[in-house]
Amino acid sequence: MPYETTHSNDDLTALVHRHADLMMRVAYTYLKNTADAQDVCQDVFIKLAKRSVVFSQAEHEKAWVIRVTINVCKDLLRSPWKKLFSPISESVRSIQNTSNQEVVACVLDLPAKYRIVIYLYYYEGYSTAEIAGLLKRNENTVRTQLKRARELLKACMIGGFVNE
Amino acid sequence: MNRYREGMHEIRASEEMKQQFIQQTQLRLSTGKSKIMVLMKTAALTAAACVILVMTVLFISPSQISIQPKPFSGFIITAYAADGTALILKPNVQLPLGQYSPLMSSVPGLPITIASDEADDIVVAVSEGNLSLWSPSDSKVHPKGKQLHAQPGITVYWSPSVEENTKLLTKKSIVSIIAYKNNAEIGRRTLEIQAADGSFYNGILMED
Repeated sequence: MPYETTHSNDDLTALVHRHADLMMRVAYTYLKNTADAQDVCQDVFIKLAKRSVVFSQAEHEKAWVIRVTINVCKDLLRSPWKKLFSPISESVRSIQNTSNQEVVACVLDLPAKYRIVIYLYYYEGYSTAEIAGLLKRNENTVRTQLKRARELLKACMIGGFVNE
Repeated sequence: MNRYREGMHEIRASEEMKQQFIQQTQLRLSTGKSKIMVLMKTAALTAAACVILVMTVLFISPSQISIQPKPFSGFIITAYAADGTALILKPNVQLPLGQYSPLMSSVPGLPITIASDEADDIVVAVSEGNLSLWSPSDSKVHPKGKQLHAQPGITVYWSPSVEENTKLLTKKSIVSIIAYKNNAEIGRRTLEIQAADGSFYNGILMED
């Protein structure tokens, strides 16, 4: 039996244009692979389109998208198939500028728990309290993770061992 | 961290990718083929296949599931005329098998060569007379009685003597030739030997 959709085609198009880039970045931050990130985005869009409750505020919708994208990424990373047949990390070929590419590569070399904090803090501009709420972590933990991530990034940038 | 922001800004979904998201989402919503549905269908099909497999194993008797042997292409049975000419026996065609008398000391009986490409063991049994193996290079005759096992291609000798070392000869004998492969019968033939004039014998391979 077909699912009842709460979104028209125009709504769906708007949703995709509004969140596709955000989803890709979050998924890429977790998975470091465009193909897997694309699969995750597709799953999240289906979940979003099937959602019967309409968001009252755009910020809530964005937060929901980030949280669900992270959860789908974690599910994918936990799957036995993914553990057995993990694709080779494709680095950051899509970034044209070399120095930008180096910084992003350094961030992607960090553990996943640091990568997502860095992304949400520096790219999305969330506060540590908001990140704590999104990731369901203690705010102090987020601050510590942010600090530790900065130290690791600094070491990476000074050491110049990007992508090695 | 400006360089990080600039770098991450370049990671985005292309227009083609966005169109694909829209199309795939519409398709999945309209057909109801969600991942869960697909998984449920796969699980149901797998369960059904398992049930059928178990039922098949439990309820079909071993005789029903035994593998039928391939059609047996038959033996090549060669007899030898009195002048030593090799004659391949054909079904329902009577051929002279040659002359044999216990007084003849040159051979221990009428030679019959049985060849088969498919068999790994051949059993030859006679209703009358006796069988033996003999190789001209090895002057020793090996009496085998009324039945022997032989490898395909071997020449067996049939003697019409009713008992060993007697001059009493049988007039008729049925020779059963059974082919085995991996201890399973894959085919059989019957050769009928009849006495003709004097010490001459004829053979006829019976139709299946």
